[in-house]
Amino acid sequence: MRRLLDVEGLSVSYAGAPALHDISLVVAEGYVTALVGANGAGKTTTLRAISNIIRKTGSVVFDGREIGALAPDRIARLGVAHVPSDRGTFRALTVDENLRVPTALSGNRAAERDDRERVLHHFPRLAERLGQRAGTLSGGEQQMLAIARALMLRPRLLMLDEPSFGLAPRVVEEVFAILRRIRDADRMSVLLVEQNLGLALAIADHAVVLDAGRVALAGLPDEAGRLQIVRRVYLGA
Amino acid sequence: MSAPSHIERPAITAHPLLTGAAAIAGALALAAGSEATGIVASYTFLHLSLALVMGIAVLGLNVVTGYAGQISLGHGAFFAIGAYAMAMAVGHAAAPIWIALPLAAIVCFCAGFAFARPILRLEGPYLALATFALAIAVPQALKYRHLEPLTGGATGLHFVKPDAPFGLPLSPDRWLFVLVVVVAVVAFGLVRNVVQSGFGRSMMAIRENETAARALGIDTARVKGLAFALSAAVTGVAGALHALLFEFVSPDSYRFDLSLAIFVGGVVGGIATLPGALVGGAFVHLVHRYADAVARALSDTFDLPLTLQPAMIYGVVLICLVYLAPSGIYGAAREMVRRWWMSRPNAGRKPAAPNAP
Amino acid sequence: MEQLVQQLAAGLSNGAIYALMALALVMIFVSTSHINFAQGEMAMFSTYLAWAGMQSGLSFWPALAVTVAASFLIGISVERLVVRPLRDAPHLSIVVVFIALLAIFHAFAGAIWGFALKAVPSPFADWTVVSNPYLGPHQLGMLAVTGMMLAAILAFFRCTRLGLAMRAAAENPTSARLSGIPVDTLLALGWGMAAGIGAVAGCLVAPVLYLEPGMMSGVLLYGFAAALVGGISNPAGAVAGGFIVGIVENLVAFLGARFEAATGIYVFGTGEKLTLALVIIVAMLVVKPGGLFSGHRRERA
Repeated sequence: MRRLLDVEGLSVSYAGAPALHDISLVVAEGYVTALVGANGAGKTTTLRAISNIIRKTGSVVFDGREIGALAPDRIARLGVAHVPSDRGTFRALTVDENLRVPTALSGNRAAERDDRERVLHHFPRLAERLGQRAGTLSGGEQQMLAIARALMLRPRLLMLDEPSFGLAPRVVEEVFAILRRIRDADRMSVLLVEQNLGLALAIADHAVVLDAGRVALAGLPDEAGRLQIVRRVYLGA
Repeated sequence: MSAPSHIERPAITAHPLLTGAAAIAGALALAAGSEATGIVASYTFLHLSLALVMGIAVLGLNVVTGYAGQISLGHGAFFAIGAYAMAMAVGHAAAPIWIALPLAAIVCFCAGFAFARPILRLEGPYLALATFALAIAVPQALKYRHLEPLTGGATGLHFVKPDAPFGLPLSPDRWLFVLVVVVAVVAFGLVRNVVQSGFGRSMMAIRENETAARALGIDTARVKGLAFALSAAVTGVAGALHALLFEFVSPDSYRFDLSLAIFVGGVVGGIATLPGALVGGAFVHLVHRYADAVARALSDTFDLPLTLQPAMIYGVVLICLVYLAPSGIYGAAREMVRRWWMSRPNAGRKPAAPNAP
Repeated sequence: MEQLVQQLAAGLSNGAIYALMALALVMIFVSTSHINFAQGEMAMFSTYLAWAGMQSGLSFWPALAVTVAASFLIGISVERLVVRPLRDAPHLSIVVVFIALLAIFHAFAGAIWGFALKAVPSPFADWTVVSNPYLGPHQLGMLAVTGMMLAAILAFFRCTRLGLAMRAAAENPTSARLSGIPVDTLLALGWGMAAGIGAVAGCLVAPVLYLEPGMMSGVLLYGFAAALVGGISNPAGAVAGGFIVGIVENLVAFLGARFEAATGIYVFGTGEKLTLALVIIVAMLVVKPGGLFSGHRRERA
């Protein structure tokens, strides 16, 4: 098992109030790691700290290289794709333009076309709406667009922040089916933040439980570990 | 963090009425004393008055921009209207000052309210443009042909400032200085009370989040309109005093640079603070008065390839101030005093310091 | 009628300049949400550079090309040295910094080149291709250049990958960063482009207004109004706004003169032109706060 992402001693404060204390976690290459916990436990903050869009202390090593001090766009170009919880849709741009943002300043047009082809293969719904303004898409479609845009970075690590948030159960199912397909097709390494524990544990190979900004538990979502994780998240014990 | 607040507050907070009374008494004593001995030149009093007048103008801007959060790049317009109200009342109607000053305030209050009602629907750059447009339009409107008999057109109006009342043996500059101090005390007291009232809290709620303020049941249009009107009245009184000091008004004395200067004074002094308005006013006046001399002195001292212009000094000083004192000169000074107070050798020996080891 | 057409034509040619200033303001606004009050003075400074180039023997167009390149660098430097370090400063402080920049550019132009009026030759002096009684060759040339600039800018945003990246960065900087776009670099680039556009505006207006340090102060206000009338983040709207402002300004003076001729009563004339134009523009904005071309209320909080 190769460590693709190695986070150590990560701490974050918002306006003097600590939000993360000394978090450490590992994402293994080719596996899905779920980051779970109650509301306000620090899951989103962890992803934002890894992408360096908020101030933090501690070390983040990606693929053997310290990336803690790099600018967010550098980190993205190195292959860490972050799908934020607000989905980051460029509403005024078309679906096609949204997909071309990550490759706008790197790579050539031919490679861009190939990548788009490959990504859209997973998202037939987007392929039908390439010329439409992204702001007019439904919530589920915007989530798919966000994941597709992240894939356009040719990421080695995909960080997803609550992909199920605000979506109807049927749409959530669709999104997760696509995620599963992507994982199986590309052996993509994923760090998944998810409020819906059932969904998260069903897809994850490994789970980390956050509680009030601290790692409470890390383990396997097998029969034995599952119960422990569920108790830890819901009962805090 | 939970230390009692009296530890963190170094200044002795005197009663505001006492402060005001002391300021007036001090001004009177200084004026009378120097009249007798000639220690302070009459001319110096003029400059003190001008700095204080700018302070009152900045205070006015502070009401609407600092406390209510609505940008105005056009307060020079109300300064001008106040000045003309004074000049016309004294020059045409020979009104005494104690009538002309409140009159100027009322005129500006009404002008501010009339302007604000439609305009304050605008936000951000739109509001900036609308107020800036006012700053450009008013000096032009003062030159309007059909108003010439009243305003004197482009040449402006001369009038004679009245002598000191009660037969006080003070030179005009000295007694006007006392007058300016009295007006300043009244204006600062008024604004202080307004800011601390329920109305003031409504203003600040609008500044923080207008939608939320509306949800709380605040009539935001009314509050913003009144805030703007009060703001215009205070700045207008400053304009009236300015006219009195110079015994002259003309459209070109109140060009848009004046509006920018008032705005700069507000931000540089310390927005949404009362002492900051005084500091900002003094800053504006000092720059106006000394930038030229500084530029010339620097050009003479160093062998520069080009002549320094006062505006260069002004611009560079402004940028440095925004860097070094992002919350204004007053805010930075208060912070320094607080640090010093906390770092006194016996500061740690105070009984309540829970997070001290 | 004849006179009306003449006034409209004059409004169009003034409008072309306002449109260019508005374009420059829009460039910076879309990426930073700031109105650069120093834009006009920066354009004036650039025009002096072009004038200096012409004094040293260059003809108009090469001098303009060199000036646009130099202005681009000046714009980038201003962003890097002055604006970027204040990224987190309160909005009002940034307005103060723009006022400071305005003073500095004004003072430097005066110190280097003096305050006397300088004549700048029109590059279109021998443009007699389309002769008509309403627009002189220089006015026609200004209209043509404005149209070309707008087309170039729209094409840049619509058709180039850099333009796409800039649109993305303007709309959602965080998401753009997460998509690998170096937003900070693009900000500096936006400043450079705005300064370049301003330089073109300055060089075109100089043959009409004569070159002096205060040349652009009036133009900036109109450009500001034009940008807002057209919807502050919309380049095409900014150009349309420029023409609207130019025409309104000239119509005001024209109608005033006609009224006086017809009734013998002076109501308003050239002296009130600026004031009335501003009143009309502000009234337009009060009625339609998001600009004339916005279908819905603007979203900015």
